[in-house]
Amino acid sequence: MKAWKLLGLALVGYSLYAGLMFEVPRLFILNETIRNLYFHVPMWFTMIALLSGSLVYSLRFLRSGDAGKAVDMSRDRQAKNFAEVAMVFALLGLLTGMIWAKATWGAYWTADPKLNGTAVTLLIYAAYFVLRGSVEDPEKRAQLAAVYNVFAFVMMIVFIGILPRMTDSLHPGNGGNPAFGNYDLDNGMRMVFYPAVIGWILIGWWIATLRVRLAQLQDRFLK
Amino acid sequence: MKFPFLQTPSVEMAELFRSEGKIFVVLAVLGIVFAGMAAYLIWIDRRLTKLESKK
Repeated sequence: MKAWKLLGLALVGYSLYAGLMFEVPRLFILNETIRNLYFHVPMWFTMIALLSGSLVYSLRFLRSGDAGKAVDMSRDRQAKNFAEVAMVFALLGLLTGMIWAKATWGAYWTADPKLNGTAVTLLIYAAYFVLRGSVEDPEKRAQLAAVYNVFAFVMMIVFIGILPRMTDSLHPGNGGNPAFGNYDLDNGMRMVFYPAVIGWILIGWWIATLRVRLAQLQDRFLK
Repeated sequence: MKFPFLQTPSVEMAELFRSEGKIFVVLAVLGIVFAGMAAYLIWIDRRLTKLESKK
Protein backbone atom coordinates (compact mmCIF):
# COMPACT_ATOMS: atom_id res chain seq x y z
CA MET A 1 0.00 0.00 0.00
CA LYS A 2 1.42 3.35 -1.09
CA ALA A 3 1.62 6.11 1.50
CA TRP A 4 -0.35 8.66 -0.57
CA LYS A 5 -3.41 6.42 -0.48
CA LEU A 6 -3.38 6.30 3.31
CA LEU A 7 -2.73 10.05 3.39
CA GLY A 8 -5.90 10.56 1.32
CA LEU A 9 -7.90 8.47 3.78
CA ALA A 10 -6.39 10.30 6.76
CA LEU A 11 -7.12 13.75 5.31
CA VAL A 12 -10.74 12.94 4.47
CA GLY A 13 -11.18 11.25 7.85
CA TYR A 14 -9.86 14.39 9.53
CA SER A 15 -12.22 16.55 7.47
CA LEU A 16 -15.21 14.46 8.57
CA TYR A 17 -14.35 15.13 12.21
CA ALA A 18 -13.23 18.75 11.85
CA GLY A 19 -16.00 19.50 9.38
CA LEU A 20 -18.64 18.71 11.97
CA MET A 21 -16.91 19.80 15.17
CA PHE A 22 -14.91 22.97 14.39
CA GLU A 23 -16.37 26.45 14.66
CA VAL A 24 -17.74 27.99 11.48
CA PRO A 25 -18.82 31.57 10.72
CA ARG A 26 -22.41 32.35 11.66
CA LEU A 27 -24.14 33.52 8.51
CA PHE A 28 -27.77 34.08 7.65
CA ILE A 29 -29.50 31.67 5.29
CA LEU A 30 -26.43 29.39 5.24
CA ASN A 31 -26.48 28.52 8.98
CA GLU A 32 -24.86 25.12 9.52
CA THR A 33 -25.07 24.26 5.83
CA ILE A 34 -21.86 26.27 5.43
CA ARG A 35 -20.16 22.99 6.41
CA ASN A 36 -21.19 21.57 3.05
CA LEU A 37 -18.19 23.47 1.68
CA TYR A 38 -16.01 20.65 3.05
CA PHE A 39 -17.96 17.90 1.32
CA HIS A 40 -19.63 19.33 -1.79
CA VAL A 41 -16.81 21.43 -3.27
CA PRO A 42 -14.10 18.69 -3.05
CA MET A 43 -16.25 16.55 -5.38
CA TRP A 44 -15.76 19.14 -8.15
CA PHE A 45 -12.05 19.62 -7.41
CA THR A 46 -11.65 15.86 -7.67
CA MET A 47 -13.56 15.77 -10.95
CA ILE A 48 -11.30 18.46 -12.42
CA ALA A 49 -8.15 16.69 -11.17
CA LEU A 50 -9.25 13.38 -12.70
CA LEU A 51 -10.28 15.01 -15.99
CA SER A 52 -6.87 16.72 -16.10
CA GLY A 53 -5.29 13.30 -15.62
CA SER A 54 -7.49 11.89 -18.38
CA LEU A 55 -6.45 14.75 -20.70
CA VAL A 56 -2.76 14.14 -20.05
CA TYR A 57 -3.16 10.40 -20.76
CA SER A 58 -5.01 11.22 -24.00
CA LEU A 59 -2.19 13.55 -25.10
CA ARG A 60 0.39 10.91 -24.20
CA PHE A 61 -1.57 8.38 -26.23
CA LEU A 62 -1.56 10.67 -29.25
CA ARG A 63 2.19 11.27 -28.90
CA SER A 64 2.95 7.57 -28.42
CA GLY A 65 2.28 6.89 -32.11
CA ASP A 66 4.94 9.37 -33.25
CA ALA A 67 7.59 8.43 -35.81
CA GLY A 68 5.95 5.20 -36.91
CA LYS A 69 6.00 3.56 -33.47
CA ALA A 70 3.07 1.42 -32.31
CA VAL A 71 0.51 3.40 -30.27
CA ASP A 72 0.46 2.78 -26.53
CA MET A 73 -3.01 1.41 -25.79
CA SER A 74 -2.44 1.48 -22.02
CA ARG A 75 -2.63 5.31 -22.22
CA ASP A 76 -6.07 5.01 -23.80
CA ARG A 77 -7.16 2.72 -21.00
CA GLN A 78 -5.99 5.24 -18.41
CA ALA A 79 -7.73 8.16 -20.16
CA LYS A 80 -11.03 6.26 -20.33
CA ASN A 81 -11.10 5.08 -16.73
CA PHE A 82 -10.03 8.43 -15.30
CA ALA A 83 -12.86 10.16 -17.20
CA GLU A 84 -15.27 7.52 -15.93
CA VAL A 85 -14.41 8.00 -12.26
CA ALA A 86 -14.45 11.79 -12.81
CA MET A 87 -18.08 11.50 -13.91
CA VAL A 88 -18.98 9.65 -10.72
CA PHE A 89 -17.57 12.56 -8.71
CA ALA A 90 -19.39 15.05 -10.97
CA LEU A 91 -22.65 13.25 -10.27
CA LEU A 92 -21.97 13.33 -6.53
CA GLY A 93 -21.13 17.04 -6.80
CA LEU A 94 -24.35 17.70 -8.66
CA LEU A 95 -26.56 15.78 -6.22
CA THR A 96 -24.97 17.30 -3.10
CA GLY A 97 -25.23 20.75 -4.71
CA MET A 98 -28.92 20.24 -5.40
CA ILE A 99 -29.64 19.46 -1.75
CA TRP A 100 -27.66 22.51 -0.67
CA ALA A 101 -29.46 24.68 -3.24
CA LYS A 102 -32.86 23.52 -1.99
CA ALA A 103 -31.94 24.57 1.55
CA THR A 104 -30.44 27.96 0.70
CA TRP A 105 -31.87 29.06 -2.66
CA GLY A 106 -35.25 27.37 -2.28
CA ALA A 107 -35.06 25.12 -5.34
CA TYR A 108 -33.17 21.98 -6.34
CA TRP A 109 -32.40 23.43 -9.73
CA THR A 110 -32.32 26.96 -11.11
CA ALA A 111 -31.46 28.11 -14.62
CA ASP A 112 -28.16 29.36 -13.25
CA PRO A 113 -25.16 29.51 -15.60
CA LYS A 114 -23.04 27.48 -13.16
CA LEU A 115 -25.65 24.75 -12.84
CA ASN A 116 -26.46 24.58 -16.53
CA GLY A 117 -22.73 24.65 -17.27
CA THR A 118 -22.12 21.57 -15.15
CA ALA A 119 -25.08 19.83 -16.80
CA VAL A 120 -23.65 20.60 -20.25
CA THR A 121 -20.24 19.32 -19.08
CA LEU A 122 -21.79 16.00 -18.04
CA LEU A 123 -23.42 15.72 -21.48
CA ILE A 124 -20.13 16.52 -23.23
CA TYR A 125 -18.44 13.68 -21.39
CA ALA A 126 -21.45 11.40 -21.93
CA ALA A 127 -20.80 11.95 -25.64
CA TYR A 128 -17.18 10.86 -25.04
CA PHE A 129 -18.40 7.46 -23.86
CA VAL A 130 -20.99 7.23 -26.64
CA LEU A 131 -18.23 7.95 -29.15
CA ARG A 132 -16.06 5.21 -27.63
CA GLY A 133 -18.93 2.75 -27.78
CA SER A 134 -19.62 3.45 -31.44
CA VAL A 135 -16.19 2.55 -32.85
CA GLU A 136 -15.29 -1.13 -33.22
CA ASP A 137 -11.59 -0.91 -34.05
CA PRO A 138 -9.68 -0.39 -30.75
CA GLU A 139 -6.91 1.76 -32.23
CA LYS A 140 -9.27 3.96 -34.19
CA ARG A 141 -11.51 4.25 -31.11
CA ALA A 142 -8.55 5.27 -28.98
CA GLN A 143 -7.44 7.88 -31.49
CA LEU A 144 -10.88 9.46 -31.97
CA ALA A 145 -11.56 9.40 -28.23
CA ALA A 146 -8.22 11.04 -27.44
CA VAL A 147 -8.85 13.90 -29.86
CA TYR A 148 -12.40 14.36 -28.59
CA ASN A 149 -11.14 14.32 -24.98
CA VAL A 150 -8.98 17.39 -25.66
CA PHE A 151 -12.06 19.18 -26.99
CA ALA A 152 -14.21 18.01 -24.06
CA PHE A 153 -11.70 19.26 -21.48
CA VAL A 154 -11.55 22.72 -23.04
CA MET A 155 -15.37 22.88 -23.17
CA MET A 156 -15.52 21.83 -19.51
CA ILE A 157 -13.26 24.75 -18.54
CA VAL A 158 -15.37 27.14 -20.62
CA PHE A 159 -18.70 25.94 -19.23
CA ILE A 160 -17.87 25.70 -15.54
CA GLY A 161 -14.87 28.01 -15.21
CA ILE A 162 -15.40 30.91 -17.59
CA LEU A 163 -19.02 31.44 -18.66
CA PRO A 164 -20.50 31.49 -15.10
CA ARG A 165 -18.00 34.20 -14.17
CA MET A 166 -19.07 36.44 -17.05
CA THR A 167 -22.75 36.74 -16.08
CA ASP A 168 -24.84 36.90 -12.93
CA SER A 169 -24.91 33.70 -10.95
CA LEU A 170 -26.23 32.64 -7.57
CA HIS A 171 -23.36 30.23 -7.14
CA PRO A 172 -20.49 31.38 -4.89
CA GLY A 173 -17.34 32.34 -6.78
CA ASN A 174 -19.32 33.57 -9.79
CA GLY A 175 -21.04 36.80 -10.78
CA GLY A 176 -19.30 38.71 -7.98
CA ASN A 177 -20.43 36.30 -5.24
CA PRO A 178 -17.87 35.46 -2.55
CA ALA A 179 -16.33 31.99 -2.35
CA PHE A 180 -12.78 31.13 -1.42
CA GLY A 181 -10.91 34.25 -2.46
CA ASN A 182 -8.46 35.87 -0.01
CA TYR A 183 -11.08 37.89 1.84
CA ASP A 184 -14.01 35.49 1.60
CA LEU A 185 -13.02 32.21 3.20
CA ASP A 186 -12.61 32.18 6.96
CA ASN A 187 -9.13 31.08 8.10
CA GLY A 188 -10.54 28.37 10.36
CA MET A 189 -12.45 26.93 7.44
CA ARG A 190 -9.32 26.84 5.30
CA MET A 191 -7.76 24.43 7.81
CA VAL A 192 -10.51 21.95 7.02
CA PHE A 193 -11.32 22.80 3.40
CA TYR A 194 -7.85 22.41 1.86
CA PRO A 195 -7.08 19.07 3.56
CA ALA A 196 -10.52 17.84 2.44
CA VAL A 197 -9.82 18.84 -1.18
CA ILE A 198 -6.38 17.17 -1.21
CA GLY A 199 -7.75 14.08 0.54
CA TRP A 200 -10.65 13.62 -1.89
CA ILE A 201 -8.38 14.14 -4.91
CA LEU A 202 -6.05 11.42 -3.60
CA ILE A 203 -8.95 9.03 -2.98
CA GLY A 204 -10.46 9.77 -6.40
CA TRP A 205 -7.06 9.19 -8.03
CA TRP A 206 -6.75 5.93 -6.11
CA ILE A 207 -10.18 4.68 -7.28
CA ALA A 208 -9.28 5.62 -10.87
CA THR A 209 -6.01 3.67 -10.71
CA LEU A 210 -7.92 0.68 -9.30
CA ARG A 211 -10.22 0.80 -12.33
CA VAL A 212 -7.22 1.04 -14.66
CA ARG A 213 -5.57 -1.99 -13.05
CA LEU A 214 -8.82 -3.96 -13.26
CA ALA A 215 -9.17 -3.13 -16.97
CA GLN A 216 -5.52 -4.13 -17.48
CA LEU A 217 -6.18 -7.53 -15.86
CA GLN A 218 -9.32 -8.00 -17.95
CA ASP A 219 -7.34 -7.34 -21.13
CA ARG A 220 -4.65 -9.77 -20.02
CA PHE A 221 -6.84 -12.66 -18.91
CA LEU A 222 -9.93 -12.38 -21.09
CA LYS A 223 -8.16 -12.21 -24.44
CA MET B 1 -27.67 54.17 25.75
CA LYS B 2 -28.64 51.06 23.81
CA PHE B 3 -29.48 50.85 20.16
CA PRO B 4 -31.25 47.52 19.79
CA PHE B 5 -31.63 48.01 16.05
CA LEU B 6 -27.86 48.25 15.71
CA GLN B 7 -27.20 44.93 17.37
CA THR B 8 -26.57 41.95 15.14
CA PRO B 9 -29.48 39.57 15.47
CA SER B 10 -28.31 36.10 16.46
CA VAL B 11 -27.92 33.49 13.77
CA GLU B 12 -29.53 30.11 14.18
CA MET B 13 -26.88 27.40 14.73
CA ALA B 14 -27.03 23.86 16.08
CA GLU B 15 -26.25 24.91 19.64
CA LEU B 16 -28.59 22.57 21.45
CA PHE B 17 -27.52 19.69 19.24
CA ARG B 18 -23.93 20.18 20.37
CA SER B 19 -24.63 20.87 24.03
CA GLU B 20 -26.52 17.60 24.31
CA GLY B 21 -23.50 15.82 22.93
CA LYS B 22 -25.53 13.88 20.39
CA ILE B 23 -23.29 15.13 17.59
CA PHE B 24 -20.87 12.39 18.60
CA VAL B 25 -23.44 9.84 17.57
CA VAL B 26 -23.40 11.30 14.06
CA LEU B 27 -19.61 11.33 14.13
CA ALA B 28 -19.53 7.68 15.14
CA VAL B 29 -21.90 6.73 12.32
CA LEU B 30 -19.91 8.75 9.79
CA GLY B 31 -16.71 7.20 11.13
CA ILE B 32 -18.01 3.66 10.71
CA VAL B 33 -19.26 4.34 7.17
CA PHE B 34 -15.98 5.92 6.17
CA ALA B 35 -13.84 3.25 7.82
CA GLY B 36 -15.87 0.60 6.02
CA MET B 37 -15.35 2.29 2.65
CA ALA B 38 -11.63 2.75 3.36
CA ALA B 39 -11.21 -0.91 4.31
CA TYR B 40 -13.09 -1.95 1.16
CA LEU B 41 -10.80 0.17 -1.04
CA ILE B 42 -7.71 -1.30 0.60
CA TRP B 43 -9.15 -4.81 0.14
CA ILE B 44 -9.74 -4.25 -3.60
CA ASP B 45 -6.23 -2.81 -3.95
CA ARG B 46 -4.64 -5.88 -2.31
CA ARG B 47 -6.78 -8.21 -4.41
CA LEU B 48 -5.62 -6.54 -7.61
CA THR B 49 -1.99 -6.67 -6.49
CA LYS B 50 -2.36 -10.40 -5.92
CA LEU B 51 -3.90 -10.95 -9.36
CA GLU B 52 -1.23 -8.83 -11.04
CA SER B 53 1.51 -11.05 -9.70
CA LYS B 54 -0.11 -14.13 -11.34
CA LYS B 55 1.26 -15.32 -14.64
